[in-house]
Amino acid sequence: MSSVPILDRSHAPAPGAIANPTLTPVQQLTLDNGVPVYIIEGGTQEVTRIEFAFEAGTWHSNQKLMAGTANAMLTEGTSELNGPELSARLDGYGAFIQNEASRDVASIALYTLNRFWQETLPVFESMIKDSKVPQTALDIYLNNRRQSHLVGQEKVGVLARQAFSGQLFGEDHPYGQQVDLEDYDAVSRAVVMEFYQKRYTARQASLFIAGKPPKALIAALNHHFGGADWIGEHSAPFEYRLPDPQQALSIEVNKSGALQSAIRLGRRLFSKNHPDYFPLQVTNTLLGGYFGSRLMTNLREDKGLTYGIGSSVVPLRHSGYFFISTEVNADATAQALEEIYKEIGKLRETSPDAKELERVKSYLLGAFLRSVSGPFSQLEQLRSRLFFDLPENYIESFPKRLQAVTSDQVQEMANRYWQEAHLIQVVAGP
Amino acid sequence: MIEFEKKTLSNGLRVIVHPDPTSEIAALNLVYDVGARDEDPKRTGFAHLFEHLMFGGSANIPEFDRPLQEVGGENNAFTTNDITNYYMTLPAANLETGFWLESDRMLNLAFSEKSLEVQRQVVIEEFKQRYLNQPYGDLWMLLRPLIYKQHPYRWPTIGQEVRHIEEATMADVKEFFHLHYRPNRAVLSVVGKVEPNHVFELAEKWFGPIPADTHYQRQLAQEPEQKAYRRQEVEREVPVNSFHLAFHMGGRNEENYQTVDLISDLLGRGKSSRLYPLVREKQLFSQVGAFVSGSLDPGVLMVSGKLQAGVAFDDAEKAVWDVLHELSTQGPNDEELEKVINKVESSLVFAEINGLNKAMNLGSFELHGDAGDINHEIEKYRQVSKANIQQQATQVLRRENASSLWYKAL
Repeated sequence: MSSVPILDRSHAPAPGAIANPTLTPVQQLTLDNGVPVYIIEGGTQEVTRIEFAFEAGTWHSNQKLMAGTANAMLTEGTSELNGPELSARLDGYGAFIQNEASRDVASIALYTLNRFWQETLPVFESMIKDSKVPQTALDIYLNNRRQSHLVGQEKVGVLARQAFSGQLFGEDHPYGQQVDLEDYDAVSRAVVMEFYQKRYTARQASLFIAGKPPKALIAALNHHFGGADWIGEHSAPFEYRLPDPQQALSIEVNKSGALQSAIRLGRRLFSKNHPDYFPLQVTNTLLGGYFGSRLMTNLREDKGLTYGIGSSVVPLRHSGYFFISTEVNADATAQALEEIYKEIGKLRETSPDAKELERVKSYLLGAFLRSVSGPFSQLEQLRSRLFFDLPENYIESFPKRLQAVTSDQVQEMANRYWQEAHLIQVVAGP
Repeated sequence: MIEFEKKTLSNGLRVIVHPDPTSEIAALNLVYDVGARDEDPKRTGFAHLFEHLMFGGSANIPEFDRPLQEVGGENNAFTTNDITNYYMTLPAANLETGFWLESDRMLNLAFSEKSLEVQRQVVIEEFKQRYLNQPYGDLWMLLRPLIYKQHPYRWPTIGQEVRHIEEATMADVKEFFHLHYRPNRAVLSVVGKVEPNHVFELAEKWFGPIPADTHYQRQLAQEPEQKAYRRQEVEREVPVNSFHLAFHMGGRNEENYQTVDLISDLLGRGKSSRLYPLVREKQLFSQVGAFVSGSLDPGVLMVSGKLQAGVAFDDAEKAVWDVLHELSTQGPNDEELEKVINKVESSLVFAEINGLNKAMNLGSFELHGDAGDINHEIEKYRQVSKANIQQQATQVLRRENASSLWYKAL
């Protein structure tokens, strides 16, 4: 006779062994005009995502707002269809477009049901190869951007972010540039067309496909995107000068009437291929990169000073930065800053105990598994690996690299990169 | 098509499992049948404050997050006017840790004074950060009481005022927990590389011993039919004029829900919608859209837009009414209706790529009827005819059924 054991609720069930994920092999091909194509097949739904990345970010223009505007205009009109017609055509087949421009790159993705790819792909092609930047749509877009700009200027979080990146990279650098209202007036159809024609070409493109692409779709890629018709020119690399490394600086941005202050604190660092990037990322997770982090535990869970606080190490293609950000009750600003510096100081002075580091590693391992779960997520990882020019085994070696990070190394990272003498502090508030 | 297995424990907890062998990450969702609508009008914001307290330690586990982080999991929660939803994703091999954690906080909370004090402050900062210290942050705090005069949808989930959160006591917290956080008032759903029978065993082991409680009888004040057009005008320190027009409609499970949802798509989903010419040709708005609230009790269809500089509210509102009137009198054309239905279908298909989404949707369909309904959703949209659209447009988009908010830039 077996008896039912009494349930022990005070101890966690024994953890299972977490298997290393099996990554789907990447299929790679090259279109006739040289565009590289990466395909990750998988998933349960009969859908495909087709995404072009172009060297057409803020980095690639000397004029403010150009990257975002040219990218947004892709969906606004071709020689045959205007914006609403393009939208109706894709909507009719239940397809979606997602497009965005960042500091380093611009992209446009088509999400299509497989049974309609023959109808949706030519529309997508025309957006990319035959964008006409209609004046009406451009005016509407710029007007919206002006309005959002004005709304943003009312938010302490936005004000702090702007002042911070301007200080880190310098206002003449594409990573630090500040947009003013009059910059919107300087954007003309002619300059947007010129940027579009230079940057949205086969030479500046890579193609990423995820989901369950039908064979016929892959076979048709050359027909739609492999020709010499949009090959474009070679372009000289862009060069910018970063300001000299900085000493500690405290900036205040006044926003009268605000109930809360936004705090942003950090410094310029490096890109993802720097040898310290990975251990610093682990160190950052411990400090402010997840819900159980020291900053969140101290400022939110212990003292109730804020709804949330976090920190990040952000890689850019040609640089990178570290920052902490939070919004706190205006009266509590000084207390919050004191606690933040205290937490950074503790990490410089004492290496974390093994248990805390293990928890951070477990959390990061789980986050890694989520980040490679399914073909769409895996493709994101692949894009990032290629973008930052990282070794081929970079993704699958994650668990091994994670295991190698030690407590002493965490302390070393904090000492190397988080000296108060190098931190830029911005407070936007009343 | 989402295939799933379902079992109801003897204490009333419903358990839904959708095995997806391709996902090493499991999603575990636990939705409770309690939202801001169940609050005492003098203690608003309580369901949401309570959600925060659910992370402050339970009967046998001092901290909720840590053990989950230690096995590679991640979790969060949200509160709406209808439900409170807790979710986590973790390696499928560690699924039992999720059962252990979620069952312990359903069994009993630690009710620590410190947790209440701290989370009260956190929620007050959240109130400021999201509602008071943001341009247009108080929009729904204005709209809700304009639209609802009786029904508890008249206050937002964050609460009607900060004072209600400041005044919450431990006695209130305990009462709320024992009334609402019971197995018979919850649905557990699991998606990922799991065996249904194993999940049912885990559910029995960890949740089975938790007693049911059937004391709570939901008796909400119903909203009387609106008889006359309403308008409110406010002035705020914002850069741009903002216009909002709300119409009462049926709840999520009512017969015409899909029809009215499609009406909102016809009107305001994307650049090929009927309202977009007010941006592009007439240049009255810089952006305009329409959506439905999707609430369980009778909800709203909302048209919202930002006015172009120099445009009068009167002219903007009149132009919106012309578009609404045209749909009511002439109905949609075939192509247009087909378009919005296709878009709904693809949204449903794309939403099914994500395991956590599937777990949440299965949970909410089951809580409000039957998880199986999730697979019939698209048919309901496909059955909507042009005549249905015109009939419902005539019924819903009436002046006496409308509340208009003019949110003016100072």
